[in-house]
Amino acid sequence: MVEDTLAMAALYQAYLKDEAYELRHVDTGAKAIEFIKAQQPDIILLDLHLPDMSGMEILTHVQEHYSACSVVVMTAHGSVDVAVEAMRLGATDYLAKPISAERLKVTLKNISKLHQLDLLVENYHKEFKRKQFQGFIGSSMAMQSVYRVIESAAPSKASVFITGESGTGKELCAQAIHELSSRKAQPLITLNCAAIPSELMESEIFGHVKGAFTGAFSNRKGAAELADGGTLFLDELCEMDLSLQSKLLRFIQTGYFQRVGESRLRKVDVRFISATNREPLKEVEQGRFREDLYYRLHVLPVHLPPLRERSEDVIEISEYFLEALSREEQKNFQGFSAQAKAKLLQYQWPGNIRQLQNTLHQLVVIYDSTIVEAEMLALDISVNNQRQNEQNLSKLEAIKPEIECKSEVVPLLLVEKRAIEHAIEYCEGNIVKAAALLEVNPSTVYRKLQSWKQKGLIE
Amino acid sequence: MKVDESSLTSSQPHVCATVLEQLAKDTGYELLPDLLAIFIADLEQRLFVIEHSPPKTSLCWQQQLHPLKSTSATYGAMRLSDYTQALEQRCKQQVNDDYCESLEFKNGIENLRNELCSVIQSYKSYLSQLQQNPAASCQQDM
Repeated sequence: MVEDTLAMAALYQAYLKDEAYELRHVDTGAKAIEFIKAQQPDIILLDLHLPDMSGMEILTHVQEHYSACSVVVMTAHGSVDVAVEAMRLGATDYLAKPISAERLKVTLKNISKLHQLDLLVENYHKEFKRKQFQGFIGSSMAMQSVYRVIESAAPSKASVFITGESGTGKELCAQAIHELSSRKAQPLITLNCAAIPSELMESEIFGHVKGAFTGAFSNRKGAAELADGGTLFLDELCEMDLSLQSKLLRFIQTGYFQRVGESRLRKVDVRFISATNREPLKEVEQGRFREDLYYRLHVLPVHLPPLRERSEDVIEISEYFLEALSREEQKNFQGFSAQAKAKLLQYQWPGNIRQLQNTLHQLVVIYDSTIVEAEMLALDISVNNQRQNEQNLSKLEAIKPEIECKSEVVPLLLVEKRAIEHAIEYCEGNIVKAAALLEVNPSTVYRKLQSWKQKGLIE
Repeated sequence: MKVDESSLTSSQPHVCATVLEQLAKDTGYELLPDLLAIFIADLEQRLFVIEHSPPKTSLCWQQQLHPLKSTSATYGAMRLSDYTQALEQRCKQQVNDDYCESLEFKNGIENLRNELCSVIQSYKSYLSQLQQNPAASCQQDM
């Protein structure tokens, strides 16, 4: 409370004596500035007439330096213009003198509630707007959703099926689910189905006994046994042979398996996490992946978005890698130039985070600098854009005017009109989208429409 | 234009018992004597300034009158508050500091001084009654 009249200060203190506030009183502007700096109070009750400075100066000072602090201005009765000015400068509320006990208490109670709400929002923000999560980096909405799915899936024993392009972090996702589960004290065993020859795969999963096949010199546990009590991560699952898929299905259904060359049934308690960079349903449709196995494993789906769909994370991830790689390679990179950032954002990253990491590693090794410039980034934007253009062209193919298929020659104006009308229809009347597909400026489309209207070609 | 002296001749009491009763309810009856003692000390301090080191400029007078207006209204000295407000308004309307030397203003300040003396006396009496008989606070205006 900043109040120079002791009789008033004493009265307000008496009003609040039974309330749960820790009230401190200063009687000059200078003392107020000093106190605010040292204590950073939640609320300031501020009298505007002070002997050494105007309360407005204190209000401005607080707004500039302590934005979390709420200021309640105490003004003389009838000083409406002063109150308005104070609110304009950022005061939370104002009290007109003489101030009643009830009014003072209600005002403080309301502000306290606001503070509690702010705190709650801040906590939610911390919880739901996470920049990093179990090794993932990125605060985009797409990743917030992934983090929540991982958190929900982790405590369950149900099988998780991770999909996503190469380099999106499928293995990291499996690790996160394992680490957040009650099985984290037990092993997470990863089996890359694409990296192991099909003839060795059964032995890799189920193990073998001595003499089971040429080269089986001793008994060996497979991934299933090693993962007992923990998690078995089957990476690139869609690459697995159909014959082995049926054995895997049986193991998943019963929990029992046999080592290669052994008749004894063994039982383990394993949680399954599978991953693929393919579209599993398409693999099922084309007969390369068993439908029953798909439905066994595809209980809790997690889709990892490609980097191009989380462009707001690109800079965050780049800065993280640049710092880590710079430290690893004993270089002194501190950040990215504006042009370099623009280039990073412009690129489509077909290889996703792995490609981004490799690109940065390459430049950190090659260059000695503090700032990454655009030309240091070995990214062919033109090729990248060409790929994007090809995708756009394929979309345009779908709306190619039928006149191209006909042999009759029509005026160019009509060809153009039909093309534009077709694009607008395709984009459900959205002229900006239509212009983007036509690769022209929206103003061009608007101008054309206006001109046809004037010529009476359209209504 | 003269200072509106009607507030000094009005039927407003020096001490408004209703306001003090409300103060006692809001702060607790046991605290009221302490608060009144602080208020009386504040009025005496302001009287001292008026008598011994009066402000020289219109702006400085406003800075003296402004808190006196609010404080007296808060503690139930309604007549004093009204008159102080009238004086403050008059100061605000005068851009020229010569006004502080005018007979009109000096008369106004003299009236304020007299009113302050009366109010201080009234509050001292009120406080004395309150201290003698805390259970039955003064129910009447003074």
